[in-house]
Amino acid sequence: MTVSQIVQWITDHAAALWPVVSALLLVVLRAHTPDEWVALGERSPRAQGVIRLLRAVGLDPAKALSALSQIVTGRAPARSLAMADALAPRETQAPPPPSGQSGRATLDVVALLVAVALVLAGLGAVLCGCPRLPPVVGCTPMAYRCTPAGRPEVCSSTQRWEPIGDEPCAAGGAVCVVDRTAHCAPMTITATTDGGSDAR
Amino acid sequence: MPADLSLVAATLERELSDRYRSTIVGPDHVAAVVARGLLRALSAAIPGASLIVDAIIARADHTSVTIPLLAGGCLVVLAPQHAADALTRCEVVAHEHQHAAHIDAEPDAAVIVDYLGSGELRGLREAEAYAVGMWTRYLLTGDVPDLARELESLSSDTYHLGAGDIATARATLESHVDTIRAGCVPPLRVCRAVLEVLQQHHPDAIVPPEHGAPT
Repeated sequence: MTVSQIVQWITDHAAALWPVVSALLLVVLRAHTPDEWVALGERSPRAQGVIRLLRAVGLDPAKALSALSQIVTGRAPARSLAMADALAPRETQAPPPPSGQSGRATLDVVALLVAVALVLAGLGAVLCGCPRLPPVVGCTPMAYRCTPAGRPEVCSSTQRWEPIGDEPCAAGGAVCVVDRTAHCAPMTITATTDGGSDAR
Repeated sequence: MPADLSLVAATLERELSDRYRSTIVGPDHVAAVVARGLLRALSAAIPGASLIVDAIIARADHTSVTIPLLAGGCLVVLAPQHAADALTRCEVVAHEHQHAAHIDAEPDAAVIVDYLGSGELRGLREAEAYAVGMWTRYLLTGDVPDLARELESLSSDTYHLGAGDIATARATLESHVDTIRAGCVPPLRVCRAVLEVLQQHHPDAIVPPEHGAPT
């Protein structure tokens, strides 16, 4: 089997593999102490970033069990809470609240809801496939203009003003002009009647 | 004595990679294989995106591509035919680093969604990248671009652009050509970066006198 075939197989089965792989990795990662986490972050920030991403978008078995148990029983069951505590990441363990287990259950549910909302928001940005297009303003397609900030723009075929380039002409020591197209042109210095000069 | 363009290409690769956090590899590099797999998996989640990703990957031998990395930065996969000739290499490296600059400046997922999810934005991103490429070629040859090659490429199956998207991309490119004809730098950060790198490291390679090393 070639590397390409392996990658193809993984991508074909990604939807089924991802929860299993991420859950196993998350359980393994919980074995690390806070000091080890800090050391990893200092040694290899990108590796730590990848692990944080795994935790953010992966399946967390402890919290999933806790939530499922709560949905089924209608209350925070002691057994699943104990499991969640045992498997919780050590660097995020909070001190026990003074009001006992009900307070812990509330915190756990809030944390779960926040985590789910964050994951859904992140996935939604990708999955909804919403490109960031400027608003439709009804301009004449292929018309040009210069913005007050000195940036050339063109009206797209969908009648949106689209910027030409990613910075104003002034960044290159030029000015925006409309002559056939909107583009950057050299700044012209003209003498004025009071002996000064105007840059245009 | 004319400048050694292979040295110029090496300098552009090094300096632009540093500025825009890119890694340049060949299409058979294991990182490129894995990154293409990730891109293919991600494109499955965006309606209509698989067609574009499949088209680009199928042309990997003669299409260079820039792929965002989840850990930050990006991977520039340089097609073998783009690495064979030094002038083409300079042009393509500059082109791909316009994409790298976008990835470096914005969140990865949003850049991917914009590119794969909208023909208009994809056409504009490619027009900007072609503008950077033709600017680099202009600096190294003095030849004012006529857009024929760029428009042929934009109209090919690679980018899956509609007629309206191609017209908008063409209008953008014509603006950049007019800027070059006027003796100015196209308003793209990577265009200024290419000029700065050449002025600093290879001033003798710059052909248009108005863009020579500042005195």
